[in-house]
Amino acid sequence: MTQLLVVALLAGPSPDQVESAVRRVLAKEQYRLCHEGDYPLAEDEMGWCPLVGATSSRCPALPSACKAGPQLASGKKWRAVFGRSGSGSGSGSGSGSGSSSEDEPRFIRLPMLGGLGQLLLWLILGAGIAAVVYAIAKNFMRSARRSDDELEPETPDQIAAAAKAAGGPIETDVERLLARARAAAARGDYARAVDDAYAALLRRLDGDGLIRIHPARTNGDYVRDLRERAELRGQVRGIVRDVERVQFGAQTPSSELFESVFARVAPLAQRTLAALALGFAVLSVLSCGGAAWKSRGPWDDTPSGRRAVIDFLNELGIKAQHRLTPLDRIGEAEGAVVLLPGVRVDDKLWSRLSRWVDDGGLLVIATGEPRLAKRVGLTLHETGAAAQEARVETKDASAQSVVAVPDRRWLSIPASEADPLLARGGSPYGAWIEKGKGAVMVLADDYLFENIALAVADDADYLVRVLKQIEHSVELCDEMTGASPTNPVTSVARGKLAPLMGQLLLLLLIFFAFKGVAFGAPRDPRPASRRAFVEHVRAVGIQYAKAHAKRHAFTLYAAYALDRLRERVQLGGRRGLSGLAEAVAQKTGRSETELMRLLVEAQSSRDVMASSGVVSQEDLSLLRELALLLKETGGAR
Amino acid sequence: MNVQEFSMRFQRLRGEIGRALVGQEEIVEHTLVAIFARGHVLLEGVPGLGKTLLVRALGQVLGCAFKRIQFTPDLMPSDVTGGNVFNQKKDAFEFFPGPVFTQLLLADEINRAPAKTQSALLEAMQERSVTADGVTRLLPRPFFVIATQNPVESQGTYPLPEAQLDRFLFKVNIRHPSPSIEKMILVNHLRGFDATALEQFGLQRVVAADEVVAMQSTLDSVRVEDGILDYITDIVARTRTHRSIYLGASPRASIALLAASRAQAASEGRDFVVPDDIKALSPGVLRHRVILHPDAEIEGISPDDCIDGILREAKVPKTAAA
Repeated sequence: MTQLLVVALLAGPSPDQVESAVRRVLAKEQYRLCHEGDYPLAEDEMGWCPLVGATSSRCPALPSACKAGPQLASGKKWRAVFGRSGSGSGSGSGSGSGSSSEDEPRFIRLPMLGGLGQLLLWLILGAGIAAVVYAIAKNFMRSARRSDDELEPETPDQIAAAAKAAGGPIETDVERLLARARAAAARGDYARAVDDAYAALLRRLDGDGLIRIHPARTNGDYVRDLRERAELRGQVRGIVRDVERVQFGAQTPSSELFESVFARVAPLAQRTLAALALGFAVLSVLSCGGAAWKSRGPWDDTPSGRRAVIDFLNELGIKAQHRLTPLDRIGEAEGAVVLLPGVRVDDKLWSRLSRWVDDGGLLVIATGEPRLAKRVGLTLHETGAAAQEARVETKDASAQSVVAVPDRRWLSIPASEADPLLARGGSPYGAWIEKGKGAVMVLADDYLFENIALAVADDADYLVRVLKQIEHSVELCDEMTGASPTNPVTSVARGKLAPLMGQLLLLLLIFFAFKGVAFGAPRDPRPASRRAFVEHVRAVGIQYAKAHAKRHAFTLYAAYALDRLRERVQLGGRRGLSGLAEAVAQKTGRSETELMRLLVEAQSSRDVMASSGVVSQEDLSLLRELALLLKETGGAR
Repeated sequence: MNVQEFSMRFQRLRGEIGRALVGQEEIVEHTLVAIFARGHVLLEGVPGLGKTLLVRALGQVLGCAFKRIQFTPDLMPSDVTGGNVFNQKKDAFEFFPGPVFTQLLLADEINRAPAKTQSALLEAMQERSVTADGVTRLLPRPFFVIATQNPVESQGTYPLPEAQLDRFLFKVNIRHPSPSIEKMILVNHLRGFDATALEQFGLQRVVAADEVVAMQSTLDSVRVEDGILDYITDIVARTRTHRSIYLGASPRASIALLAASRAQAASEGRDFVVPDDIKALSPGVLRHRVILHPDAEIEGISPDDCIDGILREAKVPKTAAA
């Protein structure tokens, strides 16, 4: 395996390919550390700054960010906080907490209310609860009283018959219609059963917005409404054909016919419920977390995040992703598994990991924890010194790669147990241990798997050379590995939603006890009975027309118009039409001659009344002109 | 003959006529429905939409004797019905039957003849007989009239009186074809179709005249449920109370609607009428049987608007919504 590693370090993608892949990844806008000179770095991320240099062609804005100094206490700590909550911005995102120097996330706290305020709050709360309880109790009491007063029908059919007899509400609930259909069929009333089953179908289609039910619409109208849904239209047409054969034809409804209709109606009528159930199931499964993610949120784009590393490895053909599946199921893993800070490994899990390595797996330990290093016989030391370079030490002297990471930890390796991989001066930074058919690679920390490492020295090149030739897929394991719930119940419990869900269920039970299956009274909206004013006017007009009194109505309007005009222009001593025309012309700016013609025609309409009872087209034009004139001189009234 | 056989023949007729008259399926269907419901059809449309072609194609596929009268202002009633002419050899009056003595009569541009001549068709259309000089002569069976009129040119025309209009089972409005249909018409012509030489087009005779009569008799077996009768009555009654209609449809309209709906049902292979039949046929049956208020006409309301409004309000029997 060591030989293989040596070959690997010399093989793999060329430096140019690695360089271009790094540049492509870091050029993405989401990696703001490379594009914003004032990007806030955390204290522990500042350790990279001596390694970046004065300029960086891969990550141009990073040197400026380094010059600005630390803006956050700890990038990793922030990442851990947001990582566990699964939301929020990253350590150095600069949004929200990004510009804060506080160590802890900020929580919004309600201001403390004084004694009076608290009293008012409790009073309002109490009154609200009392009102709800009173409303429910009142409804229960009214319901009980009604039961005593009158013997109400109990079965759906009795309810329907009573409603029909009283001209009451029409059943619109799909489930109840289907239940009614089944009840009618069980009773042997197949005609009714077919009707109800068909009504259920129509109500469902109406509810889905596919058709519009109206008393004046025929079955053909409903089928035509479905013209854009050819398959559904064909199914509905087939049902309609059978239903109409019973309703209007000579076919006697039978059990077979009902079963045939019902078998076709039920899936269509219940498909929305089925779709909802399916959607809920899918969402539930999704809420339980998948096997892997490529990114877990904006914080993954920060210098301490992993997304750029994952993108980079993917660019070069290595399938890299975060592992969400618990490490208990390590047996299903294919490729390398990288343990990063935050991952929880107990004795039981470690023995599974060991077995997996023995079977040929590659385990990379980069947690920076002495406990895990000790399990493979290595000792981890903290230095706290300034950042230094770690040079790749291979048996081939031609290897010129230089891996640069902040100098925080180093390993001590017993002579016979492991081969040092990377060395910093005389201190090993990485080690390679062959174990069974597989191997364990230990790194002193996780710096090589941070986004910012791509911008520094040959870190990216080294990483891809190690991983590419050994395994073609890499799973990164951290605090989120195994953290996703395995079923909806766990999800609800972890979200602390159990009390809320319990209250909702209780509320549903109360409603169910009060109203039955349906919460709302099923009824069609009442048609508007109030008529518009224009309809009244039209009705009066029709009455005039029926009485052949159109001419009379016209002359009345002409007289009304002349009176209103005189009133509006406040005609003083000038009484004649010419005076009126002059005054109106002054007010409206219209031609006096034209107005005179109009007024004379209006005046003469009274005289014509006696001679002719017919209203001509010219009369209607005159009427409209007078109406317009009235509007110009001050409105229609 | 049962309704399935009726439907099969009906569809074949429709398909055969459709070969000659492209893109007017609804018109063809309404015309055939009218024929089998023992009714007459008034086709209204501007020239060039294929009215005459439709009637000539009908004559060929139905195997019925076909005659055409071009109505003109100087056309006399006897030019339609025929009349007694003195035969000097026999020294007696002899009846010479007019063109109305046929099975399929095309009354082209019927509104160009005066009312007196138009009325000559009244008895023929209603009683299917002609009375001349006190002698009544039966017309051959089947007998149906297809009249055409142009709604645009009103100069020198005589609008059909209400009594005459009421005799027509359907008034069918023929509109301009869509661009795609018009292109198909052009393609047909490129392939050699000539409307003036229809005989050479090779339209098949689908039924014979006696089969038409048999098909008409089949409609008696089509069931009409009581709710359907209520629906027809309701629709026709609403035309009499509609605010824009001065004169509503007559009971003859109800009968026509009933007969047409049975033909429509049979054409689809059903032995029962459904509300959709009534709804689909109502505009064609009622539009020429109502007279609008002048006010409504001034407002631009058409009979079709009124009938649409009525159909939107008339309650359908056995609906799930009530």
